Amino acid sequence: MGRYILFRLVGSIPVLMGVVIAVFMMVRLVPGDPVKILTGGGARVTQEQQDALRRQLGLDQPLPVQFVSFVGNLSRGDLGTSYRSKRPVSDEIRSRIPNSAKLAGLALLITIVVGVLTGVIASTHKGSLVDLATMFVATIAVSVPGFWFGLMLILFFSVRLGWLPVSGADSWKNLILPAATLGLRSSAVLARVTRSTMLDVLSQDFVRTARAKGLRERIVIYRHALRNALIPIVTLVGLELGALLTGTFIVETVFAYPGLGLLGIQALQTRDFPLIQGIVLVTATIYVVANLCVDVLYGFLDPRIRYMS
Amino acid sequence: MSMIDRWDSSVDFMTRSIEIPELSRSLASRRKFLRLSAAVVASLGALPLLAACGGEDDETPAGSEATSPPDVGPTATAPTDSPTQTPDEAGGEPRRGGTIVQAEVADADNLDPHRYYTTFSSNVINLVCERVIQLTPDLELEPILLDSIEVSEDALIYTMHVREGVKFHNGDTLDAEAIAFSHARADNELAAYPGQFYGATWEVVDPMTVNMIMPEPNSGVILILAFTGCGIVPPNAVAEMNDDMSQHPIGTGPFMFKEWVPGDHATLVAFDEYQNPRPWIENPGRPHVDEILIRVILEEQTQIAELETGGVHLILMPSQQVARFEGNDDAYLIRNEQSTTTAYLAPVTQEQADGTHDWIEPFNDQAVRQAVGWALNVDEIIEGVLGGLAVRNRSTLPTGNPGYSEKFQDMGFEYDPDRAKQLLDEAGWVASSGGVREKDGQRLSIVFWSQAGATFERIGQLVQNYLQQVGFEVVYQGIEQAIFVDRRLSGDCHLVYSTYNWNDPDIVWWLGGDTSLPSGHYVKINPEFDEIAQQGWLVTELDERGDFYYQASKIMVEDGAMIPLWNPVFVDGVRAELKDFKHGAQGRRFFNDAYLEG
Repeated sequence: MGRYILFRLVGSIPVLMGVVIAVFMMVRLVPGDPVKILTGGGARVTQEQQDALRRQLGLDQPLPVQFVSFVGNLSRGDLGTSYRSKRPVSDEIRSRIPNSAKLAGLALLITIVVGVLTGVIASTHKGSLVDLATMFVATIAVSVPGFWFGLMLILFFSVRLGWLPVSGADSWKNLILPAATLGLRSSAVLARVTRSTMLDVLSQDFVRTARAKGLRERIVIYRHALRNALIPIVTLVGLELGALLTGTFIVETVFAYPGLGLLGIQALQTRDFPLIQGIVLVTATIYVVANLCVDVLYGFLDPRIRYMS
Repeated sequence: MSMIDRWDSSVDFMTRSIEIPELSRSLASRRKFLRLSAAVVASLGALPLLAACGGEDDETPAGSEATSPPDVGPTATAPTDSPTQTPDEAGGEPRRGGTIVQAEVADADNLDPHRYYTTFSSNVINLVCERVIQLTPDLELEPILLDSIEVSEDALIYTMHVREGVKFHNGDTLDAEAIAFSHARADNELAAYPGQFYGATWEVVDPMTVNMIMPEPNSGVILILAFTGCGIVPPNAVAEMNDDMSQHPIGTGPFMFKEWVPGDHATLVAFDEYQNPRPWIENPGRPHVDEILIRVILEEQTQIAELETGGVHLILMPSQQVARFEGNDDAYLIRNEQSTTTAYLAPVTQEQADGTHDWIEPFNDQAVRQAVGWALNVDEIIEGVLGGLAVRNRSTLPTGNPGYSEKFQDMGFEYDPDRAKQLLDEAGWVASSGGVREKDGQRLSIVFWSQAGATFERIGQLVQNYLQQVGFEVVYQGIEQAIFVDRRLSGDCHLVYSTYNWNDPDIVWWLGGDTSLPSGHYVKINPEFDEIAQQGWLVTELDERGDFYYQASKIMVEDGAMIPLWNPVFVDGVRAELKDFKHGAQGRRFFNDAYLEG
């Protein structure tokens, strides 16, 4: 197992290098001049001023020179300095990660609990009104844009009922609506997969055997059937983690929640290249590590899976 | 949403409002303002007004106003009207304490009073750093950090007598050195607008007297003194910060800087030793509230929800939401009455091989440019998209700028699609079977851009529809703000919708001469426009300036170089518990008297 993890970690390096190259090129290929943004659209700002700012930011250098500089700094753990705030990118990101971690963590919890439970219930009530209703709601939830869903939650729970704060990150209450926005949507996807996987498992012989042995239905479902259905569920959870990370860009904007996603949106709007690069790199790293964790989990869930000879 | 400051389109699409009765009052006030200005100028020896570039802020005084404190004879002015304030004007007993929460849709770029560009920065700095003089709500100049200012007979030396006993937030005492240092810093090569003082230098005469020495007469410079970007800062503090105040501004204003978390919020706290010099503000000292929290909330709907639930006390209200809040018990609306923003369409020009500038085909044909103007039902767009929150303007001079008068409405275009069609017919653009006009086998096909966003795109779609009705083939695209700013002059589009903000009547020149704008090379295309508009800098009397800008505006509009549309109205949404919140000049927010009820 240790060798496998090491192998996967080493294997992640080319992936992250690819991300470094891709994000460096992409932010510079997208139209939008950071200097014009920084100077308020460039109105009444002389060309000399713009050129001076461009030199100061290193944007006057050829792309290969900029890239070598970027990679050189990266190898020393220096993600650069934000064009806008003039603060180190690593500090900017570090200050936002706890908020995003709390949000993504709670959203993931909602995804797993709601998604798996709903899927299991639907599968054990196949064809019933419960099954139809849960799958109908799940289909709607998957189809609804997170942006709109977040606003609806605000209107109902904050404006209408006054139960929860609209935006910000002042208390744990601020986490509920954005986490629900992210988590419920992902849980709908998970519920559908859980249902179909469970239906497949429930029709297998070992389930029939378990029932024939007189085991209680709850034990049959949760200890035997669900455990055997977990592989695709865990795979999907790993993928949904990526969706949660990207979803924070929208949801944190709607809820003015000061996390990595909101920072990313602001960096994109202002073409803050170092900050965009830093955020994408961190996000990609989290995604790679999360997928590694999923792979490792397979071994625990199914002892038949062996990683390396 | 807006992240850049006021200049540009993209950004501050929603501005301040004008209602006709208020407009009359404002204009009367401005006439008085400029009569006083003329008197000063006469006493100074008829100094010419030269180009007023550089300064930017909403608060930068416009026009040929000269100023002086109350003790300087003919230039003394006194505010005559009440500032804009809450409906509860009588006010209760102000309650001490609490935090006013204000929402912004964009973040600061930095908080250095001499090196910022964005509105968010300006809103923070304005409360922290004061200028030597500022504008009253009636656009009259009043001394803030001075006892008086005198101008020499040859108009080359401005002698400023510093007000005694003014403290900076760090405990330093205001003196002549601080003013000379701050102005020089706001003018140097690292400033946002280097050279904005027209080559002035500063000389400290004694600890409480400083001379500003001009290389040549230029009465425009006095207006720069009131600009937010020329705030007075303590030299020692700047030195301790290694000439970098971007993270921690210090001034003499009613609020002290506490913290700035980029992308999230800035917090200001009341300055206990503040002494208010403004007669139109009742509170003589420390603000009633303890703190102001300025939050960045990018999403407008979230801002609205925060206002409804009381999480935020003050927002800039999106035009589509205004009607919903009229008569609301929990919040009220304040319309800013001095609009200095113009919204317009402009055909894009390109540099030609020989170095000259011309419009991109088919707009190199004047009839085609003019046809655009006649094809648009602007009133319908104002009502349908902006909910009436804009003032129709057929000229390039905003109705809130000094020098504007009703005669400026005599130019430009009305909705007359038949005339648009006739113009195109006469120019040889004939209707084809598909409805799109053609000339010599070329279709009358254009690409039209605006910034992306619901309101922008609704405007864009209506413009597209009007133009198609007279035979244009229009590809309309709403473009993301950063790309729009970067690419709108690249030749990728033929026509853009944009806005521009400036307070002086010389906005007429800048619209044809600011090369960052689609219409900004018009000065090179039409020397007559350039010559006439520049005359506006060489005279001081308002009516005379207005005449030059009227002529220049008329040339530009009737050439179809710009299609002026309207001046947007800006509306503040305010929670009912926020009392005695006031607007200063041109919508600038003042919290000295403000308090939170209950």
